[in-house]
Amino acid sequence: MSLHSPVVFTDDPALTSEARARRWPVVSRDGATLRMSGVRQSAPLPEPNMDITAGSLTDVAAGGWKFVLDWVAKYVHRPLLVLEPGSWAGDLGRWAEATRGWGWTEASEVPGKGPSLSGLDSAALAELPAAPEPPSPADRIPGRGRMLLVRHGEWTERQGAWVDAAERIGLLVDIASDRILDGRDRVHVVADLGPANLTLDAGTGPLDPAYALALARAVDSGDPTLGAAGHWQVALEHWFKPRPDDFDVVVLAGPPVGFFGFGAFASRHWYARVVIDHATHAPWPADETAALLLKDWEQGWHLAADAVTVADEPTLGQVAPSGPDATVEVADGARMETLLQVLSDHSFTAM
Amino acid sequence: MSDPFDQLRARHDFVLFAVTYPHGWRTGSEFVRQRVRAYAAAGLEGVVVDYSPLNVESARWQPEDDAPVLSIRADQLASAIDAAVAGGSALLAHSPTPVAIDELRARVPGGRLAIWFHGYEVRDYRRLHGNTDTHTLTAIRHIRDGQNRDRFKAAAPLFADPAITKVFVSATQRRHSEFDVGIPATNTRIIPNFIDDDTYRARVRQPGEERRILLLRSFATHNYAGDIAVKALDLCSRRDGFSDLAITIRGYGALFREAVADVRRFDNVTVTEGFSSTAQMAALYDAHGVALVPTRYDTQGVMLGEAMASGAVTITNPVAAIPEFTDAKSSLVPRGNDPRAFADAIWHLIGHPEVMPKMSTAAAERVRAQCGRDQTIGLELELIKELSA
Repeated sequence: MSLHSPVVFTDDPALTSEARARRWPVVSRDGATLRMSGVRQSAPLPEPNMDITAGSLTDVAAGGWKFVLDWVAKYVHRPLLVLEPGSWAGDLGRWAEATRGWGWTEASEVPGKGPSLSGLDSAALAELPAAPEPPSPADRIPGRGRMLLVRHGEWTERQGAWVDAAERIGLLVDIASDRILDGRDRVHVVADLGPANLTLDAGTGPLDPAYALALARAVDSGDPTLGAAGHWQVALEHWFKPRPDDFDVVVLAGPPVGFFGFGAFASRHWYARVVIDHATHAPWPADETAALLLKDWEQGWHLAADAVTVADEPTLGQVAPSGPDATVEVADGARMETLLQVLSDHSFTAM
Repeated sequence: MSDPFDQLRARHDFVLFAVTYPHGWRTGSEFVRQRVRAYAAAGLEGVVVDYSPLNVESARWQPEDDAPVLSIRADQLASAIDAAVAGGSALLAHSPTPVAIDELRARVPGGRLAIWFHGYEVRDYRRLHGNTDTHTLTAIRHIRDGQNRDRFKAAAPLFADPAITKVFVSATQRRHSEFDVGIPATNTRIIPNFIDDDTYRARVRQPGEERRILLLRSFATHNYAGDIAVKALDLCSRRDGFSDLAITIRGYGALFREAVADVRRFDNVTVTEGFSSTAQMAALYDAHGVALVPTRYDTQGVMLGEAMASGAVTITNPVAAIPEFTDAKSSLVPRGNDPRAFADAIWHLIGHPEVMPKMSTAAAERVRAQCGRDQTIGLELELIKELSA
């Protein structure tokens, strides 16, 4: 557990009153200036909204947003940013978490009334749960293979089926997840901070130019990195790169599919076999250009996979194949077991 | 001053267009020069047009032993093609750029043109997904995607044109290219690269020679998979008997030093960084019983073929086109991208030296039958004759 000091970012009078009643500082916009209650010094507002995808962390604006966080840090000890849903400062919160380890949370939206702090504890200091202890390194154990299941969003029965299949054949299973999973062991909780994931290796300064340019191009083309879990791959690599884990098989369970590029990393970093599993598959967009783009991305992900599986026959026809010899198959529990058995087997047999 | 294109306008047995050709100080595309040399040895008279983007001077001829080379700037390509067409020569093009494909299609009567694809030219770059890490790919993805688009757009009408001969080095390469371009290729030939069994002369390996192991590989990019073999050797180092092996690692490239770091410490492993000439390679293969030829992608596997031709017992991976060029009788083929399986394969040989003579013989015979002169240069000479008719 760690104690954080809530600071509310809002221009809403009602929310401001609630915050003041709790003696929480309030940061509000006053034209091109940010003001904090009880603080004489103001801070210039670099842009009306902080939007990493739109370039808020490029060189020009990044310095301004850094100043804002430095200014908050000067007056608030270990801040917990409390934001309105859809706040102009949403990316600021994510960036603060990615680069400074601050907490951030959202006020609730009360139908007919607007944002409210009612869902949040009113104590002067907020206790944030400590980050879950990361699993110990997945060392090699003679005779026992290791599998990593990578999944995002709500836990599903199919994801459970992959874990069960792996355990039935004696694989030790780690799970990489964007959230805590109750009742599951060896879970690597890797937060998905959206485009703020791209700042994980950048320090508190501007975004890496490569990522900044890629974001700009993504906006132009509408590529899937802008969709669900689109930048989570970067967070996953940032998490696993320094760790001495060793996985034989990595199963990427979708949807969402935005992180499927992690398969190439798994293949390169661990020499792992990669399974891409589509529990369901969204229909391709009606717009032909958009559809071609998404199919191209999916084909690229599948090129790094050793197996591509789906849950049922209808989904089979929707998935983009990666080559003339590539197969996509329906995998149920029994087939999952067989597939994992084959993929995790390193033995060589001479003919 | 005479027009450098005058010589092109004369009739030749062939005019070969190459986007890169080894001459003078320039290396690379040795496999193209090998062909020119072979055509010359068969009595054909031809010229080479090198339109490398590195060429900055205007067209000038350079004498070479096998065929004169005309170096031109890329913007002179159209003129050079027109001159060659005027001479009535057969036109051969190796690894043409998308612009070159368009120019050749527009200017050359299809029945006189053959185009060779060796690998990258009509292949989705993501088939070699391990070659770039995420950060690098993020930075250059738009360039790579643009290259995909340009290449496939140029190749599609070419594939559809039944008059122009398209030469691939393997059926796998053709299949992958057709998928990536999105259209079946008409009028194709599958002609592998020639493996010179005079240079890589077969010697039957005997039991005992399995302990002399060679890893001779480029470490320029991840797809050459030198890291797999090195990691496999490191795994083998934990087995009894490893110190009885004599292991040579020779290669060069950006990944070399990092890849070999863990095995340099072993007394029985000799690590040398550097380029090897053909003669040096042949000598190295001859001096060893086993050649490790790991790979993550190959359209043929010329180094594998050279090692097999020399009679070395090879350990490679059954990925991409490799299964077209070897089999379990001629090589050990542990699954791809798996240092553990590769290590098991190495140790299988150590434990079964009796297989050495049979595998050695099978390997050399297979290469002779599949990639010997008749099946490669011979077919190309016939093709050139057809184009000249």
